[in-house]
Amino acid sequence: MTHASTRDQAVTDHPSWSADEALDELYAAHWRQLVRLSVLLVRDTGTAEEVVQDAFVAMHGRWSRLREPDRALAYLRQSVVNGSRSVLRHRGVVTRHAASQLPPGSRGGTDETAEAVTRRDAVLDALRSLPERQREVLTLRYYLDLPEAEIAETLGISRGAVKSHASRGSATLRGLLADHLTGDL
Amino acid sequence: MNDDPRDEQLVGLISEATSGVEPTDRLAEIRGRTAAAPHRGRWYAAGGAALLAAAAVVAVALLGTSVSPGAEDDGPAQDPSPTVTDPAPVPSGSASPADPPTGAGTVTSYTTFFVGDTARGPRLFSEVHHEGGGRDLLSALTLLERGPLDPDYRDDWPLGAFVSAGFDGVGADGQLSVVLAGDSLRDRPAGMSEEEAQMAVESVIWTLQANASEGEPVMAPVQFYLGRNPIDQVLGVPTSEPLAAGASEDVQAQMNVAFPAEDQVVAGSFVALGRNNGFEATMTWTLTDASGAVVRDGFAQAEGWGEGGLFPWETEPIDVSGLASGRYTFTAANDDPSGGAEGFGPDTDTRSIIVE
Repeated sequence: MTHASTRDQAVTDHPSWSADEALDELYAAHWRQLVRLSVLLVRDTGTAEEVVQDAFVAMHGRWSRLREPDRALAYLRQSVVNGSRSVLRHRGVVTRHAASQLPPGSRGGTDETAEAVTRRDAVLDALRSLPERQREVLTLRYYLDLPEAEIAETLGISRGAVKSHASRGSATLRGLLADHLTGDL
Repeated sequence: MNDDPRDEQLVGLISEATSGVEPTDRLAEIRGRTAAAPHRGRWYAAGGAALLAAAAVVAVALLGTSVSPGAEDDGPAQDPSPTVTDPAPVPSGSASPADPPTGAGTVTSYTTFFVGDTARGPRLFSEVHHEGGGRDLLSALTLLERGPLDPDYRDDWPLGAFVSAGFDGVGADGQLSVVLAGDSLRDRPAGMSEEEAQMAVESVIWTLQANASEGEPVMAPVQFYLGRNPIDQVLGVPTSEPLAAGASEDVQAQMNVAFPAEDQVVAGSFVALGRNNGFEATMTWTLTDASGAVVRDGFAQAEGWGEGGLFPWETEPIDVSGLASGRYTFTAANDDPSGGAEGFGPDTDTRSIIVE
């Protein structure tokens, strides 16, 4: 009896989404942002889409354990960062050469000025040249606006490490992007 | 602890950099893959298999070598440096085109040495990094600039510190050389201890020696240059003459985990590997969860101890199938016969891993 009621309780605590519904909802809300996150890490849009697609498939497979949209989103972010890192490690210099062939977004914004395109490439190149952890921390902090505690959790490092990677990374980035920072943003 | 404020100009630039990215719609493709997968998703099994394969390759790479650069006995040998392996499988659909491209050019494994802390002070820890392209010494040093995978180790060399590196001879009779980008690295920076600087210089020597050939490390001395001339000191460490590597017992952490790698995803079970030099060749390991509670522990025997650098060890398979998924810390430690009563604590090395 006790067991039965406990189980009933647990069942009613489950959100109503099935794994398929969770996939649809989270995809609609976060697909674009997660691909953009991955683009900041790996630079190439096609690769980023593959990484994020894998993350969604993995999330779907473990929905029964995640159960909540917030946890699923945290899992997606972690998978995207890990997946992007893995791709980079395997591609190494290959990625850097391939990256120049297709500036992300060249199919996007129609009224972009040449200057904006140059600036965007410079930003992506600069991010690409940072040490891995600094790039990840800065991307999560500056693009996703995650608090340091969540970044620490996503990357599995201490908050102190998040702070130091952020401060070293932004100092380097400011140096690399000095030309663009003095301009009118 | 409050969050540091964000640099709004950088926020603006980064946000602008992504604004043109409009990904294609892949929902149908994702649905196709999730529908085809059996209930729990087959990448659990795939991850386990990939892991075993990786562990097996590392194990093969470890066999038959027992010393490291700087060791003083007969043959110089290599730290674990598997040539073809994937140390960091991530959750990904096994049929995905995003799987690591296996045929996309050469990938070279570099054994790098980073400075980390031990109870005896800063010491070198090795990490294997994989880079596209053929083996070259500057690439190995660039890995030092980019920093370690394990955040417990330090990133002592700034980006762009090294402009070239080379080897002019055969075996230990030759000389390794490294050219610094500028004289800003001549003096020891404020805040860097003398011992840290010494180890940072050793990290370059050990990394060059480890990667000068495909196989055994080359025990040739290393000359630091600025332009065409030897530089008299680097980070305050005298470098007028070519420098030999320090002895393993003075320079290396006496415990070094080779597998799992930092951020390794594991499932089912895994075999941990590494090298150490500890009392009676014993090493102990623990797996702790996010709260610090020990969820698995055990010990292993290395192939040796005492003189001769570091010796390989390998655990029995560690079963993680019953653990909740999430982050865990794998800690390998040398045995402390005094139980902490005397001397320094034993050297340890940790890896943050993800149990799926």
